[in-house]
Amino acid sequence: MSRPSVATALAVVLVAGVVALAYAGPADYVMPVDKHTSAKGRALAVKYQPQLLQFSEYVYHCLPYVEIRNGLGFKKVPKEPGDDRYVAVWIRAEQAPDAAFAALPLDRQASAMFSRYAIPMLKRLAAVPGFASDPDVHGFSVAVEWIKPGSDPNRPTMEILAMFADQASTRAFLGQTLPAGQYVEKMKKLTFFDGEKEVGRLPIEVWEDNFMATYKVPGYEMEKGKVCS
Amino acid sequence: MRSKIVTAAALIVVAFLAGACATSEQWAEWRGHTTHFASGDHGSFSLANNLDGKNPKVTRLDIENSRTQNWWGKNISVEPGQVIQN
Repeated sequence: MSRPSVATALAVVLVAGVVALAYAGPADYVMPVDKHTSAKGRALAVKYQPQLLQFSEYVYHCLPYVEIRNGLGFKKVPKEPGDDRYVAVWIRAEQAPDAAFAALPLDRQASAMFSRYAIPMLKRLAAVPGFASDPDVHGFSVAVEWIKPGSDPNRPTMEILAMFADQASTRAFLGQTLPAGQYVEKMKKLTFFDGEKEVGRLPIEVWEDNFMATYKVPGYEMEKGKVCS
Repeated sequence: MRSKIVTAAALIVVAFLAGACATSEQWAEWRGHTTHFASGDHGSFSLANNLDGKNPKVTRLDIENSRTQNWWGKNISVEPGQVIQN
């Protein structure tokens, strides 16, 4: 092979490598098996890798205004003794500034984000085949983060609401045999972070919100061959 | 060599003319972010959408680029380990 050909081939390989590193795909949003800090977590991550990838693909292609953060996987309540594993998704909801939202008290803002984003994520997680009958999947965790209204647009503050709930109560709530208020009370943890510290539990209310089921990003062109259901 | 010099000169002229046509609002935006486009992809996306947002075409790759390349700024947030443990 001539010297220019070798140089061209190397350049192509280099560019391909850079492109591969730059563009995250659905698989990149699933937490690697070895990042789970216990054997139980790693075993669950291996067992449900296809399901997690499918979930990530759904979010990636069908909910482009949502981004999975810190890896989809089997996680636990911080500083909690034992090793109860929750199938966990942490999402960033990307939304434009909204005066009506900004005018709400903090607990109403958190309730709105919970109702809009966390409930549909819980429904989707609970529908994943296999979790319901797996005793190692203790429950579900959803964290939703959003830009604090009024924060510096060049260095926005991220507010986060995180919840952990066991499978039984979550399925009872989703099956409408457990009222929302009782479900919220029974959660193992429901806590709010203001960007700098953990604030604690807020009085969260849950209401119907079909935003995620109906909203379409204007002009969004889904990748060919992908279907959302 | 001569053709390279001509090409470079043409590019400089085009860049100057393009800059001269910017509106005051676009200049304010530029000053606010030091670079008008944070990346080539951001530039391509904005140009493809005619800068005015009419009839936008947004692909998943556009969205991914905007996140990966962090078009504007960083954010203030707690450590992930405070929220959830791996």
